[in-house]
Amino acid sequence: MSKTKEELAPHIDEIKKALKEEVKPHEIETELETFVNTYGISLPEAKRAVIKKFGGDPRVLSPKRTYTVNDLRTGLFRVDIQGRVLTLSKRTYERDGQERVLFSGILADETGKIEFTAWDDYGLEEGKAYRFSNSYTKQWRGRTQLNLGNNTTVTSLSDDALPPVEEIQQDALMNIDRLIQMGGAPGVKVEGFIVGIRNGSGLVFRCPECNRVLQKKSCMIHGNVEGKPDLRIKGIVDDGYGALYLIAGREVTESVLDHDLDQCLKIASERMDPSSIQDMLEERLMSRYVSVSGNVFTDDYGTTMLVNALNHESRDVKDEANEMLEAVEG
Amino acid sequence: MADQTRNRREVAWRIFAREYNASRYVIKKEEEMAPSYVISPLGAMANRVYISGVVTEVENIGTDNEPFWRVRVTDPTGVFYLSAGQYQPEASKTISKLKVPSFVSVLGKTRTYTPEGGSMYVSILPETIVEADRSSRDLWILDTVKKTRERLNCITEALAMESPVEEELMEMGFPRVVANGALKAIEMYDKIPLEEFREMLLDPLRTLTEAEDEFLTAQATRGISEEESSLRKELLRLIEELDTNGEGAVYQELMEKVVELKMDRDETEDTITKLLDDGHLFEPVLGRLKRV
Ligand SMILES: [Zn+2]
Repeated sequence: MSKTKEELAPHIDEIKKALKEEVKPHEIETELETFVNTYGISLPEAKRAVIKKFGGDPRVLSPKRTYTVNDLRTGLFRVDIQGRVLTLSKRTYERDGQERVLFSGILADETGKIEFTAWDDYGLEEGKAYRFSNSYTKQWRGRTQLNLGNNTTVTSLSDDALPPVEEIQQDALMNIDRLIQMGGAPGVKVEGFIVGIRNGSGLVFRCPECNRVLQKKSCMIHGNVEGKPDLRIKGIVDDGYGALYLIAGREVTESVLDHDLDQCLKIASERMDPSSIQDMLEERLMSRYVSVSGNVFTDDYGTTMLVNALNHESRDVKDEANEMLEAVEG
Repeated sequence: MADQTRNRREVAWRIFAREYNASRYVIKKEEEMAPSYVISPLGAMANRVYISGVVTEVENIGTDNEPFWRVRVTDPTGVFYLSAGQYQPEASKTISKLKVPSFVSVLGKTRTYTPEGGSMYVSILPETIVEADRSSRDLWILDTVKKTRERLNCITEALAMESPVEEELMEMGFPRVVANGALKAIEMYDKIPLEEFREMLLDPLRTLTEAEDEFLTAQATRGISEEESSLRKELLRLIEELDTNGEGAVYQELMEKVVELKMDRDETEDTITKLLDDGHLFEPVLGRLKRV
């Protein structure tokens, strides 16, 4: 069935967006027409093929439009999603000499949390549940972010459409590969084995001026200074799907060690070896199965979690094994 | 896509020894320094693995000054072969102090070797070895069963599709890396013995559900005649009884017992050899026998 130019126009537009506006519309039109009208390829298949041909990723055309948070990835259009607004903040900015408002916050559902930006005032309120239709995703500071733009409509949902705030605030368990693909996310949890404790873990001394960790009692900016003691963990957790760098501050490190900073300073001076605290961390963490939660971001060094909590998983291995045995024997 | 492949650390796959050792293909890009990936029959695409098990043998095939270590780490399905030399200083140092037997967890790079005209062998180049305990070993088994089963299920689904694609498998809930690996395995292996691998999962699970002792005895006596099975059981029991200080039973004392109990000496020696070959017994030092 032949298609007219008018019928193809919206699809050409969509392909153009999928190709990040890098290909001229008439080139897309020629290709699409050939596939559809000359070779009789169905429109969805033809669209995929054209995007592939120009080096794009046809997955952005996914027929699925209703998403959950953990389905989201960069470069999606016409996203329908429902969630609860956990946080909301307002900023003003200037464009074309006019003052405009911009809202940003965190949206959550049962599967996870995502940062969003609303380029207009939709009357959103913290704690309330909404459906966003025709929103889109893009990359912002290495992470996937949800955007509410010109074509987005917002509908209020009844409060029982989603789990209550306290429940939804819990960090959702994510697979590390997905987390890396998304470039990170706020408030997530991963589970896996600690496969590395990196040098610079344990007892460190920081510059009182700039807080940088001193190397050989010297700050790279402020030279020789009297360092302030601190505790931290730099580690690696691996869940079998991906590996994630971890950075944990004093509070988490103290709870892992079961010793506070003063006690650690004492131990280090008794053993005359500041690295003895790193050894203690290795003993307590290496090869352990843990769950860690926090905020994840991506920079030049890779994808890293700033850890809010680190727990050894206590599980009934025998029980789980029995269940699985039944499933395997099935 | 937002995939930070450049600075992405290689994931460590969970895989049992039998599946790992059955790997026959490797993907290596032409570029220099490009990572290589062992493709297992169930679609693990492993540049790195994380394993846990019992050290059953440590051997230095180098010199005292320049040691080169060969280590066998046994899991409930088979044996991982590790080797480490001067370029693995940290791992080598740990290996030199390893006790046999003991639980270890190993993070390592996958290595392959293909003799001319032969098929590929795999081993592990350890990056980090740490002493472990039973609880972390058990959690590794549980995690590895889960992940192996997920790969099995993914391949099964993919084989049922006319032209399987990654996206479709992901829609079904399989993680991206698993879907990707399943398609690679299907492409490379002519025939994947899915049923064998499904059955392989039973032994690891049983180590977790059955009392350890019962399990090992059951495993040591599976698939053999009743007569030999009872002899094996009796010998394992005697060896345990004579192992009073944990350093193993003295061979001489065992043989005295054998004579005392009027057991057939030749048959007993044969059976001990078999138990040693199958990895149910080992010699911590010459002249002593110990159960794994
Ligand atoms: Zn400074």
